[in-house]
Amino acid sequence: MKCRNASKIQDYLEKNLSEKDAAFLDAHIEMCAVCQDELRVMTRVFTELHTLKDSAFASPEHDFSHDIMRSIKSIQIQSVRQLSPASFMIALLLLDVFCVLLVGVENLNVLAGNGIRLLFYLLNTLQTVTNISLAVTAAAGAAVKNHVEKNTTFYIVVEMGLFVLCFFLALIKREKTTSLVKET
Amino acid sequence: MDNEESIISEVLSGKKEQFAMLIKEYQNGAYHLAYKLTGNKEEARDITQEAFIKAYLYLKSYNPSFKFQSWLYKIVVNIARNFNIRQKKIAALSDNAPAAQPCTEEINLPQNNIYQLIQKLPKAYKEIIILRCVQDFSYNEISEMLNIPTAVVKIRLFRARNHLKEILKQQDREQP
Repeated sequence: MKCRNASKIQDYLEKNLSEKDAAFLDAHIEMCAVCQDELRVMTRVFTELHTLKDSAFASPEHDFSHDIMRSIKSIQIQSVRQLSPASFMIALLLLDVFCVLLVGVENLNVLAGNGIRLLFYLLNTLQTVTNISLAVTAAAGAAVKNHVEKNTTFYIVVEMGLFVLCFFLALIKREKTTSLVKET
Repeated sequence: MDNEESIISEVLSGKKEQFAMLIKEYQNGAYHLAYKLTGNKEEARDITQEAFIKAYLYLKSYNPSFKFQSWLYKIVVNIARNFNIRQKKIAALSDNAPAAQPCTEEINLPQNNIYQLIQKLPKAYKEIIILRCVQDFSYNEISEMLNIPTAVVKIRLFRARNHLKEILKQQDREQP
């Protein structure tokens, strides 16, 4: 047997009913066995749930803040180290520009025969776009411009190769960092 | 916490150390909530730590018009949900893994019959019961935490209590 007023018992116990409705339900419960049973069991549910509020749940054994702050700091170090491919390439481009300007000022022809030329090639190839490299190197001075133009093929091949290599290195680095953050 | 907003602003402006104050203020509450949701001390600790780390990472997206506590607890509830799913997947994948043994910490759990019954409730009901009847959050706060309308909170709570009522009745019948 069911009583449609039985569904109001929870609101009644939570004191969510208006005075009028509560008074009506009070009177109804006295006459309805279904609602009396519902009130009895639901009162038990409410009472038992109430005891949980006061239950002594175990507290954390220690202060979490040190562990958490350490994790947060490690994530930040990771994020500093974590260069996106784009920013990685931009950093290399800036390095390249610096190298070109430096070598341009010191006179490339003199340096070329002294092994520094190799360094120049290596640093100069660490940049994103070959066209930008050519533009930048051209702007660095006529001597450099001539040198680059004479060795354009070499530049393009090596630069593109290193660009691809750097891109994948950056990607691998990023994946590793992401997995570390996830593990943390 | 009175100066909560200023602490959050400072953290966002780069003073990361200030976040430790938020951790100290809310770690017990977050831990207790996680503990009540999972019933396991180790899991509760992991969930609490993960929740604070996520809170830090997503602090920019925190809306100051809501309580920080509610926002943090929402993260705790979400992590606890995913944590349970992850645990189940791991258990399902590792066929040779030994059957899950109750942790020794669980001895410290309140031995209330009702608490054991809550753990048997469907996830959605368990969350609602714990948030409302144990943690004493308002309907609106629960609505914010779970991202559901207040009316749904009330309906789920009603059904959850009915569920508990039926379990208690059945228990009474089985143990006269």
